[in-house]
Amino acid sequence: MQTATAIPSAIPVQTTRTTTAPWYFKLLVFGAACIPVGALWDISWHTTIGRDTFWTPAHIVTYMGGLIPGLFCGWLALKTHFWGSTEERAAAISFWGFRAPLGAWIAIWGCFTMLLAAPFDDWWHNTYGLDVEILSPPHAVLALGMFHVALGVLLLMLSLQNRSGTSDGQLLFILTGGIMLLMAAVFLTEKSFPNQHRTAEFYKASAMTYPLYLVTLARASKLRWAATTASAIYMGGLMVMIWILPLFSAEPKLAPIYNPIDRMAPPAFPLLLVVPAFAIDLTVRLLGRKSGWLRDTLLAVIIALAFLAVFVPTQWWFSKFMLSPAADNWFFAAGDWAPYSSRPGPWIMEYWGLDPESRRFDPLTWKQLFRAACYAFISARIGLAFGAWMSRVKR
Amino acid sequence: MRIWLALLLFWPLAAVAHIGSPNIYYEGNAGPYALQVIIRPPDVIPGRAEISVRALDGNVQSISVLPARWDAGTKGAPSADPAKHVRGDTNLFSAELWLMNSGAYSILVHAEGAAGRGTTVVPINSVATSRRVMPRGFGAMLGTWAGVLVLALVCLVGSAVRESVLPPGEAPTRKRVWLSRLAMAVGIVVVTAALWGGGYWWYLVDRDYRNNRLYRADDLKATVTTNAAQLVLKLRRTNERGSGRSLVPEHGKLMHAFVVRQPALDAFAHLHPLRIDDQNFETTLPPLPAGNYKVYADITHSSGLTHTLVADVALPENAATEFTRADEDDSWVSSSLPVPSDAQKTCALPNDFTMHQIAIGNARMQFKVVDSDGKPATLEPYMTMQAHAVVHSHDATVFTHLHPFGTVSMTSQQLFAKRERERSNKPFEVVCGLPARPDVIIFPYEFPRPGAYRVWVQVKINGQVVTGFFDHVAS
Repeated sequence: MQTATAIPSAIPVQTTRTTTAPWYFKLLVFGAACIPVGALWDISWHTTIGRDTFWTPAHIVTYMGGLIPGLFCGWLALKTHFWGSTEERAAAISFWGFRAPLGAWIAIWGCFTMLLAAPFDDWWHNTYGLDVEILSPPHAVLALGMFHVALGVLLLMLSLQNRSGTSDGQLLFILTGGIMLLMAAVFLTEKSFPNQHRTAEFYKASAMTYPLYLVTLARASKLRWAATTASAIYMGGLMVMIWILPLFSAEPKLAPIYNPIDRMAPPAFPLLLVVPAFAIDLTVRLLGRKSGWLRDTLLAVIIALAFLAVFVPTQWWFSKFMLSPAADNWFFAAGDWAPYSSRPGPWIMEYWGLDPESRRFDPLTWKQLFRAACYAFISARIGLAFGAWMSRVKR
Repeated sequence: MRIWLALLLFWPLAAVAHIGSPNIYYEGNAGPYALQVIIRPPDVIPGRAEISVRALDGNVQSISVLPARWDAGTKGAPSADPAKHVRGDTNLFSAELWLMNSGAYSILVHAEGAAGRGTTVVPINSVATSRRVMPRGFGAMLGTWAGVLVLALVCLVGSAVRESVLPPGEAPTRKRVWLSRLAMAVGIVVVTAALWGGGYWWYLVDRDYRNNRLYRADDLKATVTTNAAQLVLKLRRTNERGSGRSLVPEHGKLMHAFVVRQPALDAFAHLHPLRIDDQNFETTLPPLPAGNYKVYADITHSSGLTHTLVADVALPENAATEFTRADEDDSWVSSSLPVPSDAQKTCALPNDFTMHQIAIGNARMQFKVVDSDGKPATLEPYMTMQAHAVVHSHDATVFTHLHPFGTVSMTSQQLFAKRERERSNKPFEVVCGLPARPDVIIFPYEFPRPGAYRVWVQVKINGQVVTGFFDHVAS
C-alpha cells in the first residue's frame, strides 16, 4: 500500500477555478442514472414478462451503469497517474502506488463488485432457483457495487463542486445525489408499497435509510435546498418510469399467470420525500451551519424527530389516498404494480400487516415509532458526519 | 452462464414419483400425430425444463410447447413457445420452458402438420430436488476476487481519510496518517462484521431451502405383523410439511406398493394396500422369502403431483401359513425362477409362455410375449394398461414404475383435462398413450446413469398376471 511518503510534500500547484465540468463528467452521471433506471426496468420485466436471461435490455442498462463509470474512471486513473499534469496528480489520492481522484477509485471498486455479483448471482439462480425477490445475498453484492459506482461519481462531482464552486459542479452533484436516493428507494421496494405505510417495518426501514441520504446531501451540497432537490429528482425519476413503462405492450411468458397483464407494469408511486426533505433542509440551514461532535449529535436528534414528525403523517394519509379509487389512474397508477403471478383481489388496495390474525401483523405502535426514531437518529448522525467530511473533500 | 452451469457439482436428493430417475418419458398421440416426449425437469425451482419432442411417424411440421400449472390451467399459461428443429434430424424438436412454482404442472405439446393440429398433455412434477455445492475452483475464484475487493476497500478508506480533504498538493500530517490507520482498523472490523452478516444471511437462505423448498417425500414406515396366520404389511405415511391434498386413484388404486428384496432383487411383489385412514394403509403379504426388503409406494395427489415413498422392512422366515389376496390385481414373483443375466434376453413365464427382450435403446425398452408356438400371446389389460414395468438399479439408487405410455401419471393427465373442461366449458380430451400393439410392448425410457439394473415386466394372460424379469447393464 502506498503511504503518505510517496506524495510530494510540496507540489507547486496553481489553483485554477474550472468554469465547466469536463465533458465526461456528464457521461459519468448518465452512467450512474442507468443503474436505477435499469433496476426499475428489471423489476417491471420480472413483474410483467417474468422470463429472464442475463442479456435482457434491463440487465444491459443496469450493467452499463456500472461499466460506463467504471471504464471512464479506469481511464481517468490511468490518465492521471501516467499522463496527468502536476496539478491533476496533486488533486488525486494515492492507492496501491497509483494516483487518481478518490471518486474514480471508488467507482472502479464498485464496478468490480458489480462484476463479481454477476457469476455469484448466476450460481445462486442455479443453486436455489431464480430468485424473484430483490433482497438476496448476490443482489446485495450487486447493490453494494451499484452504490459505490454512484458514490464514486458523487465524489467526483463533489470534488468539482468543492474546488471550483461552479453551478455545473453543484448541479451534477445534487443530480447524482438524487440518483443515489432513487437507488436506495429501489432497494427498499419490497418494504415500501403504499399497502405497507401503516406498518412498523416500513417506517423503521425508511428511518434507517432516508435521513442518511438527505442529511448528507443537505450538508455537503452548496445548494440551498439540496435535500428537497434530491428528493424531487427521486420522485421525478420514479414518476417518469411510472408514466413511460405502461406505454409498452408486454405479456407474461411464464406460468402460472393469475394476473393477465398486457403492458409493462409500473413501480408503485414514490414516497413524498420532498416533505421531510424540506424539513431537513430547513433544520440544517437553521441549526447546522457549524459542526462539532456534541452539536451534531443534538442536531441529529432534532432532525430525526423532525423527519418522523413530517414523514409519518405524510405517508400515513397519502397511502390512504393511494389505496383509494381516486388514485386508480395513469398518473398515480395505484395497484398497477401487481405482478402477473399474483391473484388479483382486494388485497392490492388494502393495508397489509394490520390483521392481528396474520403472521405478518406489524402495526406501527409507539414502541416501534420510538425504535424508528432511534434508527433515524443514527442515520442522521452518520449523515451529518459524512456530509461534514464530504463538504471538505477536495480530491 | 452455461460455463458456470457446467462447472456445477450437484447430486439429486430425490426424484418424485420415481427415485433417482428424474427425466420424464412419454409416448402418445397429439391428434393425428404420434409423439415421443422427453422432459428433463430442472432440479431447482424456478428453473428451466428441457423438452425434446420426436415425431414418431413423421409428417409433423412444427411443434410448440407451453407449461400450465394445475390450479391455473391453460387460462393462466403464456402463449406457446415454438420448439426448434434439431439440426440433422427432421423429426426431432427441442425447447426450453421455465417452471416458476413448485407443484403439479402439465406441459402441453402442440403438433402441426398436413393433417391439422393436435395436442397432448405431459404431466410433470415441478419440485426442487437438488442442493448444489459450489465447485472449489469457482469458490476459490469468487473468494479471491472478494478478498482483493475487501483489501482494496480497507485501503481506500485509509487513503480517503489520509488525503481526500487536503487541498491539492498538500502532504498529510503525521496525525492524519495515524488517523487513516485508525480508519483502516475500523474498516476491517466493519467489513468483517458485514461479511459475517452476509454469511449468516446465506446460511438462513440455505436452511430455508433445505427445510421448506427442497422436495422431501413423506416419511413412510413399514411394519409386518401377523394376523390370523397371514403376514400383513402396514404402511404409515407421515407428512411433516402437511401437503393437505387428498389422494386420487391411479389405475383404480390409491397406492401401488412395490416390495423388492435387497440386495439380490430376487423377490418382487406389486401390491395395492387398502387405505385405513389418511396416513395408514395395509395389505396382506404374498409368500415371499425372508429377508430385507425395500417398499416403494406410489401415490398421486389430487393436484396431480405424484410421489414415491420409500421404507425398509424385514420379512420373517416362514411366518405365514395362509395367504388371501387383499386385491385381485396383486402380483409377485420370487427366486424360484432362474436369475437372469445381462446376456439372457428371454424369461420363461408360467404356462409355457416366454417373454423376450427385443431391444433396449433409443429411449425405448421393447419386449414381446409369445406362447409355446412362438405366436404373440393375447395380452389382457392389467389395471387398464397393456403392461407395467419396474426398473430398479442393483445399488438401489434408482426405482421407476412405468407403462407403455411412459413414466407419467395417467391420472394427473386426466385430472388436468377434466379441470380444463370445467374452466372453459369446452371439450378437452386427451388420449393417453399410443394404441397398444399386439405383438410388442414398448416402454419409453432411458436409464439415468450407467450401472446394472433389473427390469420387471408384468402382463396379464388368460386372467393371470405374470411377471418377466431381465437384467441390463447400462453403459
